[in-house]
Amino acid sequence: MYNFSTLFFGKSLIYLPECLSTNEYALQMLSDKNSEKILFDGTLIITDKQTAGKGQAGNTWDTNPNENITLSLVLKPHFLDANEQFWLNMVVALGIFDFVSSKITNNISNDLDNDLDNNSVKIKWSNDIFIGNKKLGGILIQNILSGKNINYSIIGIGLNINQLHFNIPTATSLVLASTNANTHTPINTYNVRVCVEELLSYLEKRYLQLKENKKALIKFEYLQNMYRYQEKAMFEDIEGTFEGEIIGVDEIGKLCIKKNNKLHYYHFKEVKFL
Amino acid sequence: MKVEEIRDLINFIAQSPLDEVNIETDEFKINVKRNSGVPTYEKTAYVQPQVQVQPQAQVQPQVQVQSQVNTETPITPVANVSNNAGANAGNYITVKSPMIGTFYRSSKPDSPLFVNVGDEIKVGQTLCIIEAMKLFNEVEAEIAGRIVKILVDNASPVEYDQPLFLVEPV
Repeated sequence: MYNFSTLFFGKSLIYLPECLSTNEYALQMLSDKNSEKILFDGTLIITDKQTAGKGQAGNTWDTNPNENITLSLVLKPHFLDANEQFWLNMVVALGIFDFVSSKITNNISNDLDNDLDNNSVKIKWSNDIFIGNKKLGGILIQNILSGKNINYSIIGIGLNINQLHFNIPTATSLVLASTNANTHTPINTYNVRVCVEELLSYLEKRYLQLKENKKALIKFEYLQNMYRYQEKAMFEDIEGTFEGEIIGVDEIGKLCIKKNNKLHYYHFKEVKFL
Repeated sequence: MKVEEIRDLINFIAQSPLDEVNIETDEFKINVKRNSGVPTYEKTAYVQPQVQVQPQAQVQPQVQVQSQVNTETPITPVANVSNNAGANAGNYITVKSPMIGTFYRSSKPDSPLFVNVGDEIKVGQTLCIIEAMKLFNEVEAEIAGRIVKILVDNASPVEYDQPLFLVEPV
């Protein structure tokens, strides 16, 4: 069914026509000694129809069947300590970014009439993928720790591919973003299976960069492609709204924003993008 | 120069009898200076050089890296579980937080708690979830035993190495 040109990502595959959540399925398999044995490093769990997708902090992730990518990868990043796990977040975000960028530039390159801002692919801290100001996809990482080691990391990815209509105005899909700005017609419908194959290649490439300890490169590219990086923009924290500028992320992934010429470090949910 | 290389360099300097070292390359100026005048190179001497790394070409302006490096073997425990030698802890084992984050005793607010005081726990059983930056971590028991005390309240922040549970081994 799939033809992966990867070393180990997706070489072991569990296909579910329908499931509640691929992350939840992986967690359940890992909680049982017998099923844990068949979850090799790089196992892909993929479904056509996710009925109870998990978004951030218990939010749901709604997706039309067969039109989008909903998958989980089971990884064993034993080379990372638990307190280094934000690196996983960065490489997964970059892998998705690479994939989406390859699609968007292929379709709209040389189209000078296109508003670059509306079509630029960005990683929104900490782990959403944006096109312009709209969300294309998200990541949900769930780890299993034993002591200070990461025994398993379940990388859940939801990425909108062919869906044309959304309940919320801030969502978009690859097809919508590839719409020709002049004719307002969709450029094509993507083959979701091929998209999954390509996505896994990009993800594996980034994961191997981390395994090879190319952390400076990973962090540099994560920041370079970050939504509103080094731009003056409005934010909101516990003290109210303010104009600030994203300066970077720290070792554990806290967002560093320059506010009134001072650096502030924010945990997720301590700061809002306005 | 990579952070790892700088660290190696500092470790190398720390093991030498030198009190102060200045190194300058095209990319970096590194100044390593010892705090104490205690003679070094003795296994018992506890030396903490202060290290300042000031990259000249900064990717992130206005961020200064300051770190402290121990010359002795790192005191960080290898495993998450260590014997608590506290006065009233007896033979209990402390399960410590492997990371900075927020401590949760159940997977969702309305879900049952993973463990309660008095519960028998098995190796591999989930004790709690620690969340940081939207990454969720199930912390598994490395030892079998009985939960004696839960040292952190639900939904409160935890530091690296902060004690979470007291466990009586069985």
